[in-house]
Amino acid sequence: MEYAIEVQGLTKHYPGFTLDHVSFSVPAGSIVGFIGENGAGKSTTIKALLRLIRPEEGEISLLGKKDGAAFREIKEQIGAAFDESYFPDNLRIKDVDRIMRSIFKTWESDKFLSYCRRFELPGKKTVKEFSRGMKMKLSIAAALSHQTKLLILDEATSGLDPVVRSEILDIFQEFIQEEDHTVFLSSHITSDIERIADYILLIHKGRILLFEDKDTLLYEYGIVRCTREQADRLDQKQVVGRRENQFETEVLVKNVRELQEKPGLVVDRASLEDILLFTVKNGMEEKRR
Amino acid sequence: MKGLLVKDLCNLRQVARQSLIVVAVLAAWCFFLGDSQLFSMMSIIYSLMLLFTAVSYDEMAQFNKYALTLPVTRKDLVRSKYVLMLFLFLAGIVTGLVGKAVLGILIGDAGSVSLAEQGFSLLSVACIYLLAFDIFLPVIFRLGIEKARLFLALIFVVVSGVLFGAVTLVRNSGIEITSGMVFAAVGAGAALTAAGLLISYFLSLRVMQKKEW
Repeated sequence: MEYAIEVQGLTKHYPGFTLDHVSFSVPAGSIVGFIGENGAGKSTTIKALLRLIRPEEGEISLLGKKDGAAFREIKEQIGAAFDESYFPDNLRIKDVDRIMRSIFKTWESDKFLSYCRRFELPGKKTVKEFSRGMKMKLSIAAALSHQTKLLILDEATSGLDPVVRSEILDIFQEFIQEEDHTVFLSSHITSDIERIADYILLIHKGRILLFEDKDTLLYEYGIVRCTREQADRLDQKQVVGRRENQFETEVLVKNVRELQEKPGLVVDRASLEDILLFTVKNGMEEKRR
Repeated sequence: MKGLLVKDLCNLRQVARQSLIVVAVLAAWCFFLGDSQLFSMMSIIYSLMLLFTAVSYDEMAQFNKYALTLPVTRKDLVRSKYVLMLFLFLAGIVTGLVGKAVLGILIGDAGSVSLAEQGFSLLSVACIYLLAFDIFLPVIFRLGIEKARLFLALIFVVVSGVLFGAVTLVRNSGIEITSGMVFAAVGAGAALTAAGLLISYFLSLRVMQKKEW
């Protein structure tokens, strides 16, 4: 299998936070959703991928090239977008086009302008007059317009209304139609990830907790709603996390099919959000113990 | 690097109209004062100050962080700002010389001081300005324009103070200042500025290589 991103033992220390030997591989041609709570290490990992920070340990390969080898050339094929647009306020669309044409050897003006028309971005207005959604669309149009093979997105859909988010997610799904195109998308909006991702990468407190095929994850995980006594009787190897209230106990379990036939247990499908919440909560409790 | 310069020029285009007004007001002021030399000096400093405007736009948008995700290196980011500084410096000198020539004719002081003397006077002031900006840039790369602003006035005062002090010291020591000494001092100043530019560039590069976003 070819990988668009390979990370081995990535480590970076900050006061109060450590990105701790993070390792994962993103298969080429897939969409990987990178989830975790605020401060879990998603942005730090992405910054390390893009060489915006210098890791203390670890190896990173992007599009098959290791540790900064020909990184400038590799960046010709990488599109990045963050949680806000970083184009200076005074620029217009035609300025952005002119600037990018001078920066990228592979810049595709026609494609960029066609995305801008499709997103209904006003050509006569400056970036400062754009709404937040328009600014994000401009960033994404730029990220997609230079024969891009790998899209790296850090919370690029956060803070946008559902209509704009849906429109942008559609674009990512179109982008992935090419076999060698890959999207690595960090977000804490799990519904977005659930909608488009092929794989889920979950990080918590600087450590990778799981990397799994999304369908397998959603198929194998379930929520058992039962009494506290029933929860205690469950095979603890299957239990990922539990949550109790005065009426019932909810238990997130792996290999949920084994429990579906058991009488007296209500087993529901687990959403990505449930998996995130239970896994993170379990991680926190284990740390407390 | 070309793209970065295009971006800076697109940004500065927004202040072009204000700049024309400033130059016109400055010219009128110098006309009433009857001092065409002042115009040339002020136009160089005004032009160089536009570098701060360009850096401010970048910082407000966090453009450097984004630029490093494009096929742009940290070296490109530093180099583009030095090229912009030299471009603005030359633009300031050209504006100053043209304005001075026009004002000289209008005021009627065109022939009062020799051309060579005027040239040396302008060169020495230009060297001081550029030397100050050589110091400014690594500070700006290190601290960012907002924090650096506090230090900029201080740097300017120190650079001017050191030069003024040196001149006063020579005067008070009873040494007769000959035109040869002036030539030598301006030449040394120009060499110092050029060396300062190189040192400043490598310092900025070092700052930028260590920077994390």
